[in-house]
This record gives sequence, C-alpha cells and structure tokens, in this order.
Amino acid sequence: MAALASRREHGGRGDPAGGGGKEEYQALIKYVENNKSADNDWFRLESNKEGTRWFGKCWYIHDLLKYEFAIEFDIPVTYPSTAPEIAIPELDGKTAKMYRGGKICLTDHFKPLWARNVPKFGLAHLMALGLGPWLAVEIPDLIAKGLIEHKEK
Amino acid sequence: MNRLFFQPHQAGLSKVQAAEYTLKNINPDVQFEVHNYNITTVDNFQHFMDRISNGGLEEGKPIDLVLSCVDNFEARMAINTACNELGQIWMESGVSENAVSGHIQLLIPGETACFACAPPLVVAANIDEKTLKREGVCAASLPTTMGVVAGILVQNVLKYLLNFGTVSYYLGYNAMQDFFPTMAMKPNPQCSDKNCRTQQEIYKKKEAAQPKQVVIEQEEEIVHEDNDWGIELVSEVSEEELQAASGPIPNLPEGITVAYTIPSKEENAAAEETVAESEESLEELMAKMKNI
Repeated sequence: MAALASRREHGGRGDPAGGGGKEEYQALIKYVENNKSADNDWFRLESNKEGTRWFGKCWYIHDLLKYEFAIEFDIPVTYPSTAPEIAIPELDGKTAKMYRGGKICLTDHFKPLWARNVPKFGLAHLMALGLGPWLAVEIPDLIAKGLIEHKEK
Repeated sequence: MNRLFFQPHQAGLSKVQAAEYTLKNINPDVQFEVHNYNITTVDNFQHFMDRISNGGLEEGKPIDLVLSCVDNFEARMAINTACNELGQIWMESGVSENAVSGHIQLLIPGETACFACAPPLVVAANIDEKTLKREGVCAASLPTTMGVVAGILVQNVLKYLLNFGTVSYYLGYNAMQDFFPTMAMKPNPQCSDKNCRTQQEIYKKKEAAQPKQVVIEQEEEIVHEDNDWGIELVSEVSEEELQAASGPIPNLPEGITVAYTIPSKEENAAAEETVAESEESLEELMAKMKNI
C-alpha cells in the first residue's frame, strides 16, 4: 500500500477522476511496472477518451495454470468518495455474493478501508486492495467447485 | 422493491416499470414518470438532477420530496450529492443486509446531517455470530422487514407533507427485539461534501435572521359575561359513585393506557332483581309471546 501513489487531483462533475484520468494512468503505470519487476504482472487497464469508463483484463495463476478474466467499471459521479464497482461479466452469478452484471462484492473489508482513505485512494488502490484480494479468495474456491475451467481444458 | 411490487406475470420488466404497472392498477389517477438507469454514472446523474429540478407536478418546477429506496451505498451517496447541490429535502430508507433491521431518515441540506456527514449508521442487530456460516456474511431478504420500513417511511412522508404529528429525523427498526430507536443528527461542519458545508452556512444565516419565537402557554379561563341565575356546572354522578364505577388500572409503561375499566365486584353486592324461576316450559313461553 505504501508503494501506491496517493491521489491529489480533484475532479469535477463531468470528470470525477480529474484530468480525464491522467493522474490515474500515471499511478496505474507505476503500479504495473512495479508488478512486472516483482514478477507479478496481474492486470491491464485502459479507459475511454473521457476517462469515465475503464476496462481491461486480470490474470490469476492457480496450480501453474494462468486464468484470464475481462474486467470493466464506470467512474461514479461521487468518485473518489465512493469506489468504482468492478465487474467481471463472465463470472456473473458464480460466487456466493455477486451483483447484477457480474459486479463483485467488496463490502466488508474494502469499502470501510476506502472510506477511511478518501480522497487519497485511486484506481491503483482499487486494483491492489479490492480486486487483487478478491481474486485470491474467490478464484481457487470457484476452481475447486468446478464453476470455472481453464480455457485449455 | 421487487419484494413489494413484482408479480410473476411481470417477469422481464424492470423493477420500476413493474412498480408503475402495479401502482397504476391500484390508483389510475396518479402520474408516473419512470426511468431505469444507474444514477451514479456521469451522464445519468445529470439527467437525474435535471428531473429533480424540473419534474414537479408542473413541468419546469422542482419536485417536493425525494424518497430514496435504493439498496446500495453508492446510489445513496449520489442522491446525497444531488440533493446537497440543489438544496432538496429528501428521505432515505434502507433495510440491512441480514434483513432484520431497517431505518428511515429525513435529510434537510444544511439543517440536518447529510448522508456524507458521518459514516453509515447501523441499527444494532444483536445476532449471535456463531450462527453465521461465513464470517460476517448473512445475506438475507425479508419482505416483512421491507414492508415495515416502507410503512414508516410513507407515514413520515404524510406527516411531513400534511403537517401533523412529529416527523422523525431518524427512526430505526430492530426486528429481532422490536426496538424502534429515534434520534436527530446535526450536520458535520467538516463534511467532505462542499455543498453540504455551503448549505450549512445558508441555514445558519436563515436561522439568525428569524425573530425568536417564545411559546407562552396560557390557560384559558372560562368566564361568562353575566350569570344572572347563578348557574353552576355540577356532575350528576357523585364522587363515591364514580369511584365505585371505575375499576383498577393495571400498571402500564408510558404511552399505553386502557380504553375503559371494569369495576371490581363488591362482597356484599345488593341483590339485583332477576326473573323468578318459572314452571312454564319453553314452548309455553314461546306461545305466550306469540299471543301478546
């Protein structure tokens, strides 16, 4: 967490991320480069022109197999007071608690953490502290239950 | 919403569309405007604010009240953001994730706490954690809890719009113990929402400008201009008779009383007149009645 840059940009009504997402990109690039150096390159993200809609993919390695999932989210108008809700459409309905469209549930641990760190947290934090831990808990469980299969199978 | 409105034949419709159809059938004279979208996106939020400002009974005028019946924190924050900016009074409602508690709130920008002034309030659930299969997770849904919360929300709306009773700023509902806590919360001068802080300043100025209203309670003395005949009002029933006619009042907590009392039976009750025992049979009595 210490390695992730804190947000400083203030967004406006039509551009909640601020600067069309410029600062977000900078923080994310730094985070991804650090991941690559640590041999833990696990996601890519890009946005639309306005920086209001983001999409990409994430990977999770389990039993030497690499699983890939497409991810997407909107920047909510109340960002950064509220965190974006990440969706993994292909996993919709597969976990015990999932919201419509495949939005993953991050309530118990992540949301209070985000709330306590407003407005310093940004998309890099969302990935590192939100999506990352979720994948670590849910993917092995889904594989064990036979709910997801590796694409090579 | 889907637990209160949705019927099987409406499968496929959005919740708000199903709600409109169901409600229109109940009362065709109500006007509806239905939108089904995520209010937290930048584009939809703009439309949402526009409808608050212009969607009144007369198009172009603002609405009177917003009732939030959404089921997530983000949507509530979005509504809060809109209402703080527009100075729009609104009521918020919710049911907990485990379905055994709920609440309603009245939010007046600048006057009461806004939704962002404090972290989300939680009505104590008093659930034994040992009964949970997964730590901290007890997702459940009870239309009964939702019905209760919907009822107290609308009740609060009626009191607010029609000016009767006491409008609650906050009313909680703990279904496990049937506990209904109430309270009011002042705004946070360091609220993270700039518009909330602005509204607080506006409210303070408005309050300072108002003259101080002192409530004097005066007991009205009933006096008639003249009373030539010296008429007095005296009870027809004597004190003793009144005592005898009332029964004991049970020991009740505040707010509850009996509709009437039943006098206790006295030991030496005077024998009351009854009909004498008769030799005549039932048929004979029936015939007697017919021949009167």
